[in-house]
Amino acid sequence: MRLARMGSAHQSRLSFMRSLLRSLKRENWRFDRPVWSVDKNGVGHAVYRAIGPRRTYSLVAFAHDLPDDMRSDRVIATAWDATFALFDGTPTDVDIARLSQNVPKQEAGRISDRELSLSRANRSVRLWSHVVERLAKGEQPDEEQIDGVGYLMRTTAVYGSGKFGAADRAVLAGRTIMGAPFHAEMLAVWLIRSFSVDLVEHMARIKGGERAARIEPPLRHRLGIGNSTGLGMAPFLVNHPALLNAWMTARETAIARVRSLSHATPEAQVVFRRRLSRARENAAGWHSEHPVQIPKLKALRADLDLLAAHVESGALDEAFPWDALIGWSETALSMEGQEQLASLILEPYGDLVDDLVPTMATDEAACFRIDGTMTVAALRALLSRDYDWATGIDHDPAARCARFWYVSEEKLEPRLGQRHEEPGAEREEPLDISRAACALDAALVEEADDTILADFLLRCPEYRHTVRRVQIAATRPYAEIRENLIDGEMLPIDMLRCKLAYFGASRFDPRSDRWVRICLYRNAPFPDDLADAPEDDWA
Amino acid sequence: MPVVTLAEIDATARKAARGCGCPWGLAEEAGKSARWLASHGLPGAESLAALLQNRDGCCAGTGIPCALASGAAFADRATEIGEAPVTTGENEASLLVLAQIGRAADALDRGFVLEWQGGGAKLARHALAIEGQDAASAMTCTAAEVESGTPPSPASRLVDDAAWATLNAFAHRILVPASDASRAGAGAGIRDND
Repeated sequence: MRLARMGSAHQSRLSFMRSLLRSLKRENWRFDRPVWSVDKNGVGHAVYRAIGPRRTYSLVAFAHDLPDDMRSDRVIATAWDATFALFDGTPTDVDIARLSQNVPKQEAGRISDRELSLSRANRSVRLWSHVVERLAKGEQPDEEQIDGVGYLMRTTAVYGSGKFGAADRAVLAGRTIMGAPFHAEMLAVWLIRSFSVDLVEHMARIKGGERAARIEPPLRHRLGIGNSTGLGMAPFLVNHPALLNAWMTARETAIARVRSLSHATPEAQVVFRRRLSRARENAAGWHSEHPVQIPKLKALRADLDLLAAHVESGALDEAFPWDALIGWSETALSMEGQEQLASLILEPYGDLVDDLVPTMATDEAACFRIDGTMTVAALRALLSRDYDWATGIDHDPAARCARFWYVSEEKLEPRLGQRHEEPGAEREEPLDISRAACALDAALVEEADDTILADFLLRCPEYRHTVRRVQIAATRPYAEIRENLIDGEMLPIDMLRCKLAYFGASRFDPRSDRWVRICLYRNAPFPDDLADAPEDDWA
Repeated sequence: MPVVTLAEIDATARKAARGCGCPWGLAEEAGKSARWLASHGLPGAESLAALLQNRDGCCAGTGIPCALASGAAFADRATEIGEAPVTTGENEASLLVLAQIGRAADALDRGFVLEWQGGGAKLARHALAIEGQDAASAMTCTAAEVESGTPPSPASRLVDDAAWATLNAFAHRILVPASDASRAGAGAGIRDND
């Protein structure tokens, strides 16, 4: 599991926003907007409800009048165009009053056990004013501009799981839909998308009065919700090895199931061809100015052309066609194309792979305990079997330990420093996995084979963190990113992309080596048409 | 008294222990133990704050393992504990040792009985019953049949003001002050208001 491959990840049927919408549709969830209290300046609040058979969740949205010079996607921003909380149930006026005092302040405020997430969004300056102008005149927005940007607002942080007072993750653990990883956050983002459209139409009505138009549904569907993500997300995958393993295992299992099919039915071939064609459209409309992403996009487009030609030449009519196709891709396509194909072959087989979604949640507390009765000899064997990728790295050259991960005093956010140029390396976070594995390996040389780890760790507690990881990885083959995460050439955006692909994101547009913009829910149904839309046929 | 989430107790306790000088692996145990105690209605954040204040530094090299280190070593061998009583040894924060054994009971789905002068505790998966006086320094532990319980409420808890401030002050020690370089590095690279 290498960063280059993780950095070429694509969304799939198992991505959280797709599994969320499938579940909401299957359970016939209803949606409404019981509160809309926004004034002529676009300031106010609104409530969007998702009502299911057992529970109701409400997005409480606050719209603000933000001066242009205060708008920033950076985590150090202190004001936003809109702020949100996902409420567990239907909020009363008292709840809304309480949230109105806290949600607009984001990290500086405080929410409660009744809230499941805290988030904010900024307008796309480019698209927002264009859409308001056009709608106010009774006209539709320009399709090219809609597709060029892809969203009216982009979220810049979506916090959940016990942060800033929000309900602990354990609150959701047993719930049918929200028990899946990030489903609560993905629900909030989906409802924020509706809010962004409602607000832009509201502003057009204020400006244009009676003649103002609404965005016609086909165009509206092309609007997703943007997201701007920085380094804060990167350490998550490293700090949750069992969860990362669960996500990767689910996807690998799904791919293996499809590869084991002896033939592709005509129906499956039709679905695959349709989704391949959509992937080509997506690649054609996906733009980036980043020097790393430009050649990758070029390669992806060429890959998809090749793949389409290969399919048209009868590749799907062979025996074990999916296995053959994946085998072919390993030499014929770039990593972008290989990963896109691996996601695409799952498309016709919901009945074969969708049941893996519940396996993507994991009880991390259950694997936290160290087995101190394990011997040094057994631990050495695990290091040799599972960490040879790490113990073979020489971390002494400056470039191989050029970075250090830390948490900033300013915003309590993860950052990446230059070890040899910036102060603070003594406060390094334990993301130097490969270097720590080397240190443990070296420390064990002095130990007797039959020494048990409880005794070793009592004498040498500095290895406790790494021993835990080795024991977690012993039964979880995808627990570790097999890469030197403090290397001078490591690209944090590769970690971001992998995680965001599991969310279901598309159109990855790196803005630097540690910052990426994406689009979520592009072409997805809206709450008011989910019931009538074909199931999971949008991504 | 501030109301904090169990996740915040875990994270703040972990960072505080690290800020006090604990190695990361023990700091993680401190976070989980503080959370476990709080979830069972016991003063987890408060016990850890007192320990860190007493120690103000890592116990490694002092020859006297702190409650985090000795509790971890004891819990690491929890599968070896049988009917013969094993002593946890002297230490200054018995609740943190008890938490380690409680977490082992959760993870292993095994029952344990702890006894100390004037009191004792029965532990099993998601179950904790303390009788008599508060846990004292010398405890003995045996494995026993104890009925398991249901997971404790994940609701937020009240924590003592001073203890919470102490933990946050220790946690602050692992933060790196902002510099021009760090701000530039974390940024969006190109424009971020478009």
